[in-house]
Amino acid sequence: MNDLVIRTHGLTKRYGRVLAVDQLSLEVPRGSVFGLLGPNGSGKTTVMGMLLGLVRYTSGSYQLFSPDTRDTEALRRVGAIVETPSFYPYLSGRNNLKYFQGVLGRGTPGEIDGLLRRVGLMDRADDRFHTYSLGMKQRLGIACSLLGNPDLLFLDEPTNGMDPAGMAEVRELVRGLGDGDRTVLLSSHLLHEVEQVCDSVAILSRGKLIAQGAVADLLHSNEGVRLFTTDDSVAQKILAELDWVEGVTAKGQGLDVSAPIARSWELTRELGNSQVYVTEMWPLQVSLEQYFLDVTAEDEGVTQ
Amino acid sequence: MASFLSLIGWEWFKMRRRWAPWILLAVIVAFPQVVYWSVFTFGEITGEASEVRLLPNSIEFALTVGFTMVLVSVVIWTASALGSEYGWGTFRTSLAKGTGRWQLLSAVFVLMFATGVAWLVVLCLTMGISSLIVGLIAEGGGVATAGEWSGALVQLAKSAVALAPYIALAMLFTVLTSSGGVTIGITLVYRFLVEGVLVPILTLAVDWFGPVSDFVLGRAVSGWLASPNPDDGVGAAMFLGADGLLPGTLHSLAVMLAYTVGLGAVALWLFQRKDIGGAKGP
Repeated sequence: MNDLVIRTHGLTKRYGRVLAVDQLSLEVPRGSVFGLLGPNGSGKTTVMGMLLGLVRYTSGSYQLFSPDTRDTEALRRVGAIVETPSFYPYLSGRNNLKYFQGVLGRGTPGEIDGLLRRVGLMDRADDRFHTYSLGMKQRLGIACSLLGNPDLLFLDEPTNGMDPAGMAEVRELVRGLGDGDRTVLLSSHLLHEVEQVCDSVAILSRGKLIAQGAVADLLHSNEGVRLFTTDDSVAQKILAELDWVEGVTAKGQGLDVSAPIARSWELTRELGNSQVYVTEMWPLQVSLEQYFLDVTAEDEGVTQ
Repeated sequence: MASFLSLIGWEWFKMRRRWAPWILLAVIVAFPQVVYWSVFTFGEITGEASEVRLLPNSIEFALTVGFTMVLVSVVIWTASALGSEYGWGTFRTSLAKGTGRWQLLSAVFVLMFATGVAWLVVLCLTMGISSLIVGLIAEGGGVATAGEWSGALVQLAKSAVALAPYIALAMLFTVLTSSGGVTIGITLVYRFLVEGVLVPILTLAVDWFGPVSDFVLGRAVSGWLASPNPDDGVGAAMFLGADGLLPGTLHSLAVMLAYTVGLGAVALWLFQRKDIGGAKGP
């Protein structure tokens, strides 16, 4: 468990007949920004709720930090925003932070001003929470989650309701938070955002884990090239026989070949040996968004 | 223990900034004052009444007139404070910070009880001030000749103890329904319709219900407050048994204790088990 801050084993949550999370086995390494992705209703928030002790799990188990860390002890080292940040509407932003710092029992009064400054809320710190815009509420939520300098952060859609400039700021903030020993578990439906800040991701679909790994590895496993040749139908047959080529699909006037880009020179050699010549070739860049859409669509197809 | 006391302190930090406890306190203080000044200004003051208007008897008068108001207020405040936590989703933020569930609910219970006691003390103090003013202008001085300060203090302590089971009841219903409004409705219906109307009717109409009614909370509270004079408690007439008596002191205390511990334990158990959701509404 030394390298893992979160480990779940067969974690399951059932609401009556609805299976919200199904046998989830997740491993989150220490000192990384880990993305939790999935369409609406895939169980991301429920997973976070279970790990934070807010939602009772039906079966399975989980560990935060290490097996001998008690739940409340572990949670004192965790900061979290789950869904929309929840604060007392009649208290100012500063007093809300004071209260939660008191409840947490960690940190110093000076820490609050520093956090308010860090999230850009210093000017409105003494205004009541109910007067804040959604973006400001999110910022206060981030400040609250950072109280006590936690080792593990759960951020559920932290840029929700923010303008583009605010989103960019938070993206930078999250990236910075994941440096060093601190771990960030980030849930977001903005996939380009996740791609920019996350080292690893897990993809959920209807409560099930359907993919997990380092972002670079997942995208490399789906890389390929687009080819135009002097004879596409022959080229397709030749390439399909190569055991290191995962697939060849005819698309319009060309071929999409699923294979490591680094071995593309071997493709041209094999085709040239059979008197088929490449007229044009470029790498297929698979974005996390495309990867996500592919694997979730695959999962939908399997179930149907 | 230190962290539990700190938690109570932080609960107070946030709750004292709400309007509700101060508005309820104003109502609690105002109602007995209106009764006091109406009776002793416009009423005919003879014999015993002239003693009741002076200290320390006026303290017992305030507690008799104001207890039900304090009881209702403490139920409203408990349900409102806890119900708001569900409505705003703030339980989620507190619990995600590692605050233990039973510690949090217990801290709320202690704080609500302390608030109820504080209201009773303020009620007595304001009545004391009014009595002093009346005493200055009344014949025979400012202190009643037949009154005992110890009696007033005992009545204050007994009134405070009697709040505990209703706080536990309000907590249980709020945890069960996750709603302050629903809890206020249920608890007040229970107190005034079930205990105040249904139980007395059943006690008189059904033979076997007589012994059962000795274990109804309202009768126990009334018996506890009325002792050792079982015919002059708060709402005593409403809670008299088929034999025309209220339950004895020890029996009443045991019943109230059982309700407090039982309802509190079920509330804690439920709170430990229930999922905590986010804010309701925008």
